[in-house]
Amino acid sequence: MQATDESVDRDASRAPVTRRRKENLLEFVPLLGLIVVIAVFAIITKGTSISPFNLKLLLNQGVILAVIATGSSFIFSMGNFDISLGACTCLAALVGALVQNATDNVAVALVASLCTGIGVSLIAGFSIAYFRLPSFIVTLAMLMIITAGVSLIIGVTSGVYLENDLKRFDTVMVKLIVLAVVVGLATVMFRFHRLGRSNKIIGGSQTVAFYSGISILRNTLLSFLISGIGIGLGAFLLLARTGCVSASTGSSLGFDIIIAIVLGGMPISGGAKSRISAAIIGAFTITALNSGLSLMGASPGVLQLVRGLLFLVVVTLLVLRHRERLLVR
Amino acid sequence: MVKAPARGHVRKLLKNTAVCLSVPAAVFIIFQVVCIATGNEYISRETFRNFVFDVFKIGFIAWGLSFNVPAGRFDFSVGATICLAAIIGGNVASALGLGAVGLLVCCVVVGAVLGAVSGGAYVLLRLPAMVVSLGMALILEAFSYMLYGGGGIVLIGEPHMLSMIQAPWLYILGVGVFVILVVVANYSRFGYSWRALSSGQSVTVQMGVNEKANAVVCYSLCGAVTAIAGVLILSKTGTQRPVLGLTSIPLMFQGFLPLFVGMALARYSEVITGILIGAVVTGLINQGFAALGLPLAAQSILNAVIWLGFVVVAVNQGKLGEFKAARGWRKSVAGSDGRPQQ
Amino acid sequence: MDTEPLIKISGVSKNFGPTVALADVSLDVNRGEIRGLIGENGSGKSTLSLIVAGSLQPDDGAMLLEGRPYRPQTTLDAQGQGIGMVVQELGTVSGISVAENIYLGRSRHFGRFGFVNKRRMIEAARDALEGAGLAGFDPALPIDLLDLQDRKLVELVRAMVNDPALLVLDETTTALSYQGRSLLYGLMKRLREGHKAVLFVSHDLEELMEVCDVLTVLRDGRWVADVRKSEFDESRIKQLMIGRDMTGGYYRTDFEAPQSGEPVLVAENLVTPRGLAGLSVELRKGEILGVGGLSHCGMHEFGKAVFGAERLLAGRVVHVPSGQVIAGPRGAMKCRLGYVSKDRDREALVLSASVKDNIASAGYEKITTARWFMSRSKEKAYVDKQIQDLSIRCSSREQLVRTLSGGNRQKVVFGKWVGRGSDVLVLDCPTRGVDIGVKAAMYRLMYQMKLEGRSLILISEELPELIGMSDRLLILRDGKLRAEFARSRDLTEAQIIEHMI
Repeated sequence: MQATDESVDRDASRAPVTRRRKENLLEFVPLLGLIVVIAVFAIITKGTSISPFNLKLLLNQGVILAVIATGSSFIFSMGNFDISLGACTCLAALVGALVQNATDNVAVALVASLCTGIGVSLIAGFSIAYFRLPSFIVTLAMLMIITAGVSLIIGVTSGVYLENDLKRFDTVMVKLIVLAVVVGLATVMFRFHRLGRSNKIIGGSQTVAFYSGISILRNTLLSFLISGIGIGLGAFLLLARTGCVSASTGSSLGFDIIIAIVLGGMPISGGAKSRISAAIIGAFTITALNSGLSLMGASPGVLQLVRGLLFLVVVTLLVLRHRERLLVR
Repeated sequence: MVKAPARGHVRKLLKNTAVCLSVPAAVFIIFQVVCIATGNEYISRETFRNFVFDVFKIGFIAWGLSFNVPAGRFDFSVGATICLAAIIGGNVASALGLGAVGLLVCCVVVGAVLGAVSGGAYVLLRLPAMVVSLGMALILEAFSYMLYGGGGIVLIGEPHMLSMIQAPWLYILGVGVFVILVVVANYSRFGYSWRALSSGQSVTVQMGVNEKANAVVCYSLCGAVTAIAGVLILSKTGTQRPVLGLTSIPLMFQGFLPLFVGMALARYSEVITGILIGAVVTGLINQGFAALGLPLAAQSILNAVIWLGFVVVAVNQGKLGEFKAARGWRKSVAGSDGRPQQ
Repeated sequence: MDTEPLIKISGVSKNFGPTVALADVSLDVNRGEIRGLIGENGSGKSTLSLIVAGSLQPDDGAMLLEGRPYRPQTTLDAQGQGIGMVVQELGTVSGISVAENIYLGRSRHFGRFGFVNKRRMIEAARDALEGAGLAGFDPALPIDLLDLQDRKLVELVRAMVNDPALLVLDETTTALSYQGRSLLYGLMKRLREGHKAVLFVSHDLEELMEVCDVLTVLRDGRWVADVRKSEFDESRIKQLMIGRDMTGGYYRTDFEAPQSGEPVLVAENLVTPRGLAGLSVELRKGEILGVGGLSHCGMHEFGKAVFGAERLLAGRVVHVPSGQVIAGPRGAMKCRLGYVSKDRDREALVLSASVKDNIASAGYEKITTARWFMSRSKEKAYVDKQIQDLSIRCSSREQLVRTLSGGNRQKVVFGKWVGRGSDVLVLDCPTRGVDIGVKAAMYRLMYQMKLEGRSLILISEELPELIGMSDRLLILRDGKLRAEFARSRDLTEAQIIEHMI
């Protein structure tokens, strides 16, 4: 009875075995990229880039990026796009700094940062899910609003400085612990909770998700909540590290997160291939790249040029195999 | 053959004109009332010049955006194109010793080339337009910093180059570009293909329209038209500094409210005209907030909120219609049990 | 001269990844001939028409058009060589006028120096419309103001404007009413008299037998036979299409009066923005409820509404055992409802995801341990059971659904819903686009579920399937219930059709 079907699929079932092996290997390409980036800069700078000092720097910067990127992976996995991450981090750090100065209570400042991150993130998430708006439209508006809001609070050029610094939290130990906890929880949520699993279905097709009884509103809100937590934690770490907040704080962060996720091997449209490891590997790759180039004396312009080119190249490579006949929009 | 009688045409034209003009009129009246109530002066002789400048500046940006955004190609790189076109065009014009018209021509040509590069990248990479334009925005910004030693362009003290925003020229420029764009959009072969591609890409391509060439032309036109906005800004401030870290996005963002208002009004007129009206509306809003003494940052927050509100309404219009239909239905079916008459 | 075929297709093959769509097909279409192409879903008839129309390129084989090599790279290329087409892949473009749609891609003929003379285009469009017997619309109007049928006719006019030698029509008549059809048939006859030819693809055998001079039967991408008009015989052609005698063993065979189980689902006075206009239906335990009608009768909306996926303007769907009112797919699933969508690749499956991810996507609560978290091993067992029970042919549960054939994709959708133990399953055209083997398996499965006491709503556009499988059959028209039939050996299509139209 099933003769025809069989003949079609017999060929299909053989090919994917080798294809799958190749896919498995492909999963390690991002990690390889990280190693190559570190190695290349180590050679060019004759080892300076992997001096203990610079490695510590790398870790210090990378962890902040990794924490925020990990949180935002949930957003990206469901096909949403957040361009306002840098601005949100800036605002969360600013609120944290103001509260810290007002209360001199670290716990309260941390909670303030977290609440700010979660708050702005949830506003964006709610607008996206409830009004069915495209995420880049909402987050673009959020970017405008938050950037303007920050400059309204502190002015364009001045900054807010911490009266009592938080350097005691700016240690490698603290960062590693935060990173480990965030990554651990995120991995569990992403792989073993229905949130992560259903997010991938939503990223694949919102329509299918709807017909499978997956609540897009609930998932969007939860994902933006998690992203907000990442923003809050990242902002606090950033504050502890720099001790001050200005309008330009985190300005390059927003885009670095997007590049990081892409460099980590996650499709920018989310879906089935989304994974948490992309955020971590990508965050350290882009940080290593930034610091390596800076060590070589690259100007901010060159740095941005490299990031822009790299972004386009990697995204292109990621989708090279299923490019469409028609131009996509 | 159904042929609408001429009187119907005139009536429709009048009605459409009334709808289009009512929007800016309403905004004007609201702000006028608020300004009178709070004792502020809304639009005075002095601020009127600034208002006209503002309308054309955002108008040019919105016209540029209209080539790509309604066709589903969201473009993050417009702000970066404006800055880079002004910087390169300004430096070239300055080196050649050109005047205001020379500056305009240089910037427009550079803008068109940069737009074509963006369009070329989009066509070659075949990635979502949003992704390509994000990368292009970074790259163009980087060049604005790397070229001319990071100094951008400073034309302060060269008033002969900056006269494009003076009274007759600004109007001539604005009206001239408006007429050209109306003709391009409605009477050119490019315009026909562009409108067809915007709403049905796949079918149009199958029927033989080259979507790639069309996209590159769209990007190029977008670059050329928005570069005029760059000339206006440069003429007003005398400088254009390099931009980095996607700080060019707010510039692009100024065009969104007029663009969306224009797209909504397009049903009653035509998209280029609609956008001009949208620019007037946006200019009136900006002027109103300024008259009320709001700081610039607060103005841009309010603008973003207004735009978002506009998008929410536009996207959810269908729902509103359904809601009304539902009320009608409930009335009409109340009482009948819906069983078949068998 | 007359003996030379207009188009000679020899040895054309086409593969889509692992799927063979066409294998070594040869056929000649002569001038003055209306050639029908028939075959089941997936037989390759549409693929062949798209290759002739230039929309697809063959992997192998050659075509001769009027004796010259014919290798169209695009549809435009094909049009330039004298092919006109109305195929499903095309359509009209909304937002622009009727005239612009007719001369889409041909604006260069109306003006010079890159400009377009609007008035001339409108006049030409008016003439073209009248020439096709379609006086009545103003070509300057936006096409959005036309209904679906008129838009299809505009497409037909578009295909005719450059006077094609061969007109390719792919399932064109499904969107047309009687009036539109007679217009189309007239046009086809005129082409025949004008010494041109028509390649007419349809799955409606009756229509083909009436209109065509020669029928080519395809099966599984292969040429099976050419049948001349004098040899037309419905049962023989059907047999050729299917490849074997098709009697019995296909649908369920019992015709006992359906036992009246207690109601499980009650739909009261459903009204939706499009489709339903006050429909009340009761679904009983252990019954297969067939729902039929014409495409736009509201039956698809009814299926969605039952699953809570369609906005209701009025009315409600109540799950009787729990007393719950269904609101949204999530709520429906809590009442153990499932929904197999008609639009499988868009609504039921994430093609870029694996078999496992797709099957698991409706059953997260079945693979969850400790209330919150999922168990990998439970998931694997859950998915593997469906793969085995439904004999889904895949290399592993990790295989991407994109690489599966239509029938196997549909089995994955069934697995998604059967696996989580749906008591009520809404099946919207479940056998669409699957071959006979899978079809038979689906019918067995449906009958099996009925015997287990589950209730099924079978929405279908195919009357034999509805007659063969339903305990009760409802016919909808204009969103309302028009007729109800109980299961009977004597029920015929003719009895039903009069209530549909």
